[in-house]
Amino acid sequence: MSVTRREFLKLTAASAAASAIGSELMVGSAVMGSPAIDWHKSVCRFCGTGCGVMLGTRNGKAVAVKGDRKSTVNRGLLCVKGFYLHKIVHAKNRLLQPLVRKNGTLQPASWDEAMSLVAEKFSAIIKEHGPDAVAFYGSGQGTTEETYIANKLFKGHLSTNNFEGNPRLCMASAVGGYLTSFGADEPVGTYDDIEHAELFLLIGSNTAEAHPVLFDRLVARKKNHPSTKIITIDPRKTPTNKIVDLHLQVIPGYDLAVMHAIARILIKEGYTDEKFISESVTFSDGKKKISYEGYKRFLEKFTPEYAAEKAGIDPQDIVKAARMFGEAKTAMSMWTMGVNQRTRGVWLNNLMHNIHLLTGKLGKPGCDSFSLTGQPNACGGVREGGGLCHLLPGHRKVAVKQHREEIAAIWNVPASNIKPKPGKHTMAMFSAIAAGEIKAAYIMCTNPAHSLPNLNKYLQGLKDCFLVVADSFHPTETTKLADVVLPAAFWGEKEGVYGCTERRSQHMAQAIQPQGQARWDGEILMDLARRLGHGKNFEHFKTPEDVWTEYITTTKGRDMDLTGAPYSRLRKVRGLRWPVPDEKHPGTWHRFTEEDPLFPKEKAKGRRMYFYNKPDGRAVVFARPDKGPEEPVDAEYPLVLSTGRVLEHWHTMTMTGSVKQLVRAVPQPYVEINPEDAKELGFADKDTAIVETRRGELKLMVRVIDRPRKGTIFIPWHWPEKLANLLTTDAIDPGSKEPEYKICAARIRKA
Amino acid sequence: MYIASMLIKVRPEAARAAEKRIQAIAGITTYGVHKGDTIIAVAEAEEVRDLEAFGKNLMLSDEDVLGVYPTYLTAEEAFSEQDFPAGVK
Ligand code: SF4
Repeated sequence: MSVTRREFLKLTAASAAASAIGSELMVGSAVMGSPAIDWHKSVCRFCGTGCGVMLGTRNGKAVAVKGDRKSTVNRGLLCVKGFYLHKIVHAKNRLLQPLVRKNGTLQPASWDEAMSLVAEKFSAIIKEHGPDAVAFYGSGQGTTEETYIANKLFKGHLSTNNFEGNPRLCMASAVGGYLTSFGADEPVGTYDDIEHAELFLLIGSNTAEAHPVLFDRLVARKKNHPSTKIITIDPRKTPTNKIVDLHLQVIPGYDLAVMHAIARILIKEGYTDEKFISESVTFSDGKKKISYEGYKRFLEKFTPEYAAEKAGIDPQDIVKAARMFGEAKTAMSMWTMGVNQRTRGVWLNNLMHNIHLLTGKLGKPGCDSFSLTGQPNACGGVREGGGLCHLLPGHRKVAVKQHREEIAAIWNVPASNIKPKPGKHTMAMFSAIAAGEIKAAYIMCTNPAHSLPNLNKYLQGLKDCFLVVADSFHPTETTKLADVVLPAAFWGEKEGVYGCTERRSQHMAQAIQPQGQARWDGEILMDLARRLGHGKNFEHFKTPEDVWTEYITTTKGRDMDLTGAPYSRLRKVRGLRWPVPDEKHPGTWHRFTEEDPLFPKEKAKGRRMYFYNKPDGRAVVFARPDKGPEEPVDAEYPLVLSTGRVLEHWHTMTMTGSVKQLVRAVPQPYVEINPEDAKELGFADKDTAIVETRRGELKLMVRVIDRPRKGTIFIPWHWPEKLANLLTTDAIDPGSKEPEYKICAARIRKA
Repeated sequence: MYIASMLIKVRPEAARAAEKRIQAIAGITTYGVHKGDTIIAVAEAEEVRDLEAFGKNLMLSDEDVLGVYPTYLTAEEAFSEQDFPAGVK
């Protein structure tokens, strides 16, 4: 038998596809072997799903990527974003050497020159203005080890809590929701619940495009159990609608009333689990405890008609949705930015949890209220690792004395080094940079000059302050403004751990050497620590494993205990879901239940769920007001503008944007307009329009499409040359401090 | 030349018809419908953008396609002769 190389590679590829679904091809490369590739276990770094990826190398170069069949998350499948991983490692805009701004331009420099300058400037600024004149801004794309080192340096040694990460902009409201409702961050259940759910409620989530691999699990669930129903609450029609049974196409910003109306019907029509409520639930209006009866009285106003009028939908659809949820034996809700990026994001998160608490559809197979994550390590490095201004590692808070003392002991610093007052949250941090109060900032693995809302307000400040950016790519909108740009090793070039949406921590192997002079971010930070005179407490970190080993000691006995997940174990398995308190423990499916190793049986006294981080062990159902958006439409700005993600791009294009092919696939920034609006306003497909808000304007191609509801327009936010964030509002949720990217008032005219 | 395999998930009742439509696309080889709703396809393309555009267009424009999931990607140029087993020319 003789085949060409091309044919052989095609058969290899086809066989990989077949084996991913447990099928066999009659023809295949299996009979001949495979091309010589070394495969390395890794995790996709494009979204928070946590898909297992195998990175193939040959002679020190990445040559192939395949889905990891052994991963329980994606079982060998990827989405198109995952496909580009190996291309990006060798992308043309990889930054290969340090750059230092001289006479207004960024010029190549040695590592020593660049780091000396960074250390000098940071030292001088701290000496003259105090530690809060410097700041760190990290990322849900950095590894846990990197965030841990940065946290230890800035909070523990430089004594500033001006330490934030971009998850503030995408999931802080989910954190606020979990903390207030259940007393502890991160979901009760896991992806395993998908295979047991009879009903899915998707809200503010275009799952098909934003989390395609999870979407496939919903498709599979429907296929295997055709009675499975899917409801979506979303202002846009999206490809997710292909499998949806009921779509509540709400006016953006008015879904809180809809959630209350659903809760009201669940109670009135007897769908509640009264035993669960009496054992494990308490009620609050946000300021004080209220009774169940008081909550029912609060809900009286939220008739289907009231909510439908607010949200611009049919009241019967609300009734239908409530009954579908109530009648299903098991139900899982999923949401993402459409819920979180709101000035009442925490409240809406609470209302999602409410319907699960009222019906007891929580903490058992097929039941969960499950926030989907946008970035691969927002949960791991930032939420669990304490990478925000009010947190410390292991789900601790800077404001709690005992927490400061516990972490200071591990960091080998006096407890007084860690300040008790939270630092500046992201928007306050960039406001302080704009105001000149923060004079130096270290930005790692993120692109705020693209991703902040209402950008015009913050760009000058970024130019004026001493800005250090560690990134794998250049130029980005942020590196363009930097004083020093440090080349960081990219995915595949470093080892580390990512923690995904379902509390799963997964190890990524280093497959190739960093390109050019690029260095591991952890090494760069430790170099800075040394130059600032704090090297001693970092000396024992010779490898990422050393960092992880110290990090997991911070989790011992905490609700997110990772003691049983050292590298030696993580290297072998496809991740572990915490709590995993010892090396024999398999990880936890449902928290706050008997399966949870931290479940206090004596205190629970026979209750099915005990929310042990709440003083009374009870989760809270909240009677939150149905506040609308911060900037409602008016006569001057009559359209709702929403921004979001489409299938082809991810976040701010520093990664996917570097693959020219991917850019070409969606060649031009556009604004989506509903056909009825287009007709009224006189627009045809491919016209050019000016979209204007109170903060700025953009010239864009018009795409007339029946995706947004009438009265709303939509702009994908990825293009650096057309920054949608020049238009968005920087109004924030008072609890989570997350901005309302999803909704602002706009108008549109012909260009 | 890039070579990529993918699983194309389709509505089961329309699987055969969808496979025919996909087969007709230049540069695509299909390897049958599996498990009732999954078409195995391999695409060859000079540019990854063509692979990507193919996947995206299928998902967005074909009502019967519920998802396009790459499983393996490589490039012919990534390998030299000795990387292949005997019998491969
Ligand atoms: S779904 Fe997310 S994690 Fe999975 S391959 Fe796509 S981008 Fe990567």
